[in-house]
Amino acid sequence: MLDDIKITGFRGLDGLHLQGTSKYNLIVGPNNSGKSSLLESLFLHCSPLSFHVLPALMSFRSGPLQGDLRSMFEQLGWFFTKPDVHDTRGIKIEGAWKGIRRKTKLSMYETDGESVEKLLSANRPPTSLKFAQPARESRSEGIRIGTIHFYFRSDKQEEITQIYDFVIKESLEIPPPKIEADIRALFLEAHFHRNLDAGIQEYDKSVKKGYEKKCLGLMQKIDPDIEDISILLTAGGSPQLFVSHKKLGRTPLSNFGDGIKRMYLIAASMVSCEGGVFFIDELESAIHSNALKSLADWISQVAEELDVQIFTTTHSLECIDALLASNFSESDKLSLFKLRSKNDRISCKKISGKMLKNIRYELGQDVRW
Amino acid sequence: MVKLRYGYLVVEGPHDVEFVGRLLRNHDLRRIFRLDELDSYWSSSTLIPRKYPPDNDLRKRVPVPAFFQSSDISIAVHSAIGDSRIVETLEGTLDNTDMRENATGIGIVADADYGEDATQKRWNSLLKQLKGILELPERPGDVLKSQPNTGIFISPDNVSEGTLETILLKCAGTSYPGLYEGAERFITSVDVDALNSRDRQDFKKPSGKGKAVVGCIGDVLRPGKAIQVSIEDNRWVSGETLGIAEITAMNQFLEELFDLS
Repeated sequence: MLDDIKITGFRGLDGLHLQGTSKYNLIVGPNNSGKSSLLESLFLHCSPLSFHVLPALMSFRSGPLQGDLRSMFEQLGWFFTKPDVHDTRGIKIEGAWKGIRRKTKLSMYETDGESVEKLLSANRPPTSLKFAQPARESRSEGIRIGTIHFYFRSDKQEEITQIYDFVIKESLEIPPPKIEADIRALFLEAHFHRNLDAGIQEYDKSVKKGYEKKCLGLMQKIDPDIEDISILLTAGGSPQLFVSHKKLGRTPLSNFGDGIKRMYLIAASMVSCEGGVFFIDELESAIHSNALKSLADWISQVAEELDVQIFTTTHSLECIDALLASNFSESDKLSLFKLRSKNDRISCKKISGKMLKNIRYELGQDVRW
Repeated sequence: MVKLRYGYLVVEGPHDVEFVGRLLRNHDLRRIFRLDELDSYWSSSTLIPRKYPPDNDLRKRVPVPAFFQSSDISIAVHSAIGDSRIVETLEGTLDNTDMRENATGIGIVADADYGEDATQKRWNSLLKQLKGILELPERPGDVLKSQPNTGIFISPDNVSEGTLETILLKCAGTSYPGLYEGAERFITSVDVDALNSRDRQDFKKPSGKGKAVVGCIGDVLRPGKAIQVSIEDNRWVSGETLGIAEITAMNQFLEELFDLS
């Protein structure tokens, strides 16, 4: 499991320590307390040296990276907490995965703006990033806006550095990471179920692992008339998920309500994370409170079967209660972490599953702030 | 709006809530009955329960604290609804709130009950359960001055065996001597053996007779109402009874715990 994690310099998280994690970890706190940032930092930590994680995380909040390369570089800079004294900005995330200590660092270096401006006057910068194969070792030629350095080391891996150049030329290609990610991790943001192609890759994995019926079972808790789900090609030749429904016939999943889509996406995504970590932002998003118990029971069962550790943010007391009533409430399988801002610092307080039961069931208190 | 100080006290049951409330009333704290009159620290905190029924049991009371407030301090007195839940109530609330950092005082009022070295045994048991949760003074009735102040008062007087009813009986002897003697005579005359084992079960406990006498007096003073209503409304705690040693001791404890002038 991921545990004993210290985060420094990531968005508003500076000196946050997450200790005593469990199989299922609920993250609560007021708006803007850093809940989603915490998930993002943990996901980044699971994907060492992977530049592509940054634009992916950025897109969850504000859509794909926009504008020219300088603009993109500037937007990526917002992952870094700004220091009081302008200096090299750095993100540091240290933790343990299955007992093995590991450290991820990111540093960002900007070329002097005036110099770039002069050089740019005669050039037209590229407006998109491509991810290249194979990896390049040498520094690129062209007008350098800046670089992002990724560092990673663990008890099993000597420190390794990968530098991503932001160089203005005709096309910019981003090489793949130098090492394979050692933690299988997936990040599901609150509204991803609205993407047309959401769930296609996850469907493929769920079928290969023999979990397609189980994933279907979760959707059937909301709509018992759902009979099957499959991938078909649309008239334009694009693959899309289709649901076989007793009353509606074969219908694109995209035509169903958000709750059904989200339930399916959570189920199929979890299967993809076997042996790894699943990050879910706002678990309750689009899901009616009556369906949360079914979801919690399903997640708790499959997390045990596939050995998946889960980190979830939530604003919902019903969601917390549904998880408390599931198998996660046994012994130490559930922990709640409260984030709050105090003296411009975000701190984290853990409440064990056992204490959470006492607070919710006996005292009836709210635990969200 | 003046920023208030805050205090938190866990007690065994509803009678204790009303008794403490009467003592706090002598320090100009009045009970708050409406949510919109409660200081925003409590209404925005997590202390007001939002889940019913407690533990899925429709018979259980919702554990809402009683709030007593003056222009200077606001104190939540929280009934644990039973001595076995005192520590869980305190620990759960401390884990779920920021009271360790923000409260002036955090404490407990518990009964010694009966038996050899009852008070010491109760004290030791609570100390053991609270280890790592709350730093405490060396003796019952003392207050550790810190952030927050902490302490445990063990009724009736931090030394003798007994319960809150021990104090109430002394109060009745002072404020309602006639009622007290009559109730004593009645309870003493009860033929316990005429009751079946289930009926006499509670009466035969060490605190049973005392509670029955208190109940009789309360039923005369407030017929048909719960005893805690009588404790709140009648002269159990009054000018005449404030000088009783046990009440003086509890009063002093509350004053030091919450820095009451």
